[in-house]
Amino acid sequence: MPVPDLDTWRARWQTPDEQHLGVRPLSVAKGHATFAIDLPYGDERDADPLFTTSALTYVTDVSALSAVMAHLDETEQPNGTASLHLNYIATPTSAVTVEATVFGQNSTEAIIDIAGREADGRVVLRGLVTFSVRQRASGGGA
Amino acid sequence: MTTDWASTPFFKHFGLVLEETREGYARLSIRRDVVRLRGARDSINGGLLAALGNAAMHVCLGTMLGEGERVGRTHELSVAYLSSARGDVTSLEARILRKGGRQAVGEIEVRDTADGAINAKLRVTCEIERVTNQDAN
Repeated sequence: MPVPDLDTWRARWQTPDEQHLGVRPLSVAKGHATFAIDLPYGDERDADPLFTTSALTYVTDVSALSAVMAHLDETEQPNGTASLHLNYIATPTSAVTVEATVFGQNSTEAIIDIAGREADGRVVLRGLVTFSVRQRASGGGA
Repeated sequence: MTTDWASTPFFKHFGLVLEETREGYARLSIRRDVVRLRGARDSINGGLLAALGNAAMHVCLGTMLGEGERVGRTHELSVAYLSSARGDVTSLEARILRKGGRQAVGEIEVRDTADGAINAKLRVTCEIERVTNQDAN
């Protein structure tokens, strides 16, 4: 599965709900994806702690998916998130960049490292995602 | 301190419904047709599902707070995804495993409301904040 065209990939992750969470896709490369979460929101969402945590959690999942999709070869396809473990280290006070990096893969799963940092380098999030992968059905069908 | 969860921005925006609470227990639900963030096989996106489970934990912990306490930030969250959340309505049941003075640990089960099939199991650790009279004002 080749690294997607950047504009096409960014367009996929800019739905109204993603924008409401402050999610902004930044870059994708083989086995690697980065998203930004634009904080603070500047409205009532800042007073709801569930919102920021949810944005971090959602971005973890989609950045892991993006990194995996840009990592698999033509014979493989993603099958869904198998597990997710996150440590929310500190409450972000400014925009966060979340980086997902595939650091291991076998025939059934890919393991992705997650790190979320503010612009000054302060780490606010660390995580580990396991993503189920499978062989693409012969004949090209999913 | 009680929270009107239904009026919070997260509940309102994502269509999350508070069904039942009692001490150490909370049950929430969400209709899939109001969820626009979709995942594999048109299920509720896994990241959003984790966020919904975290919300269930916050509500659940809120049922056990004493005077001068409030639900603080989430410290840790683990999810095992067991099947795609593709039911018409998905339920999130949270139970507190232990509440200490500064942290609480809870377990959340995510199920298809119609047939009870389990979609995911979460464990969440939340901080308990101490509120002074000044903070409450």
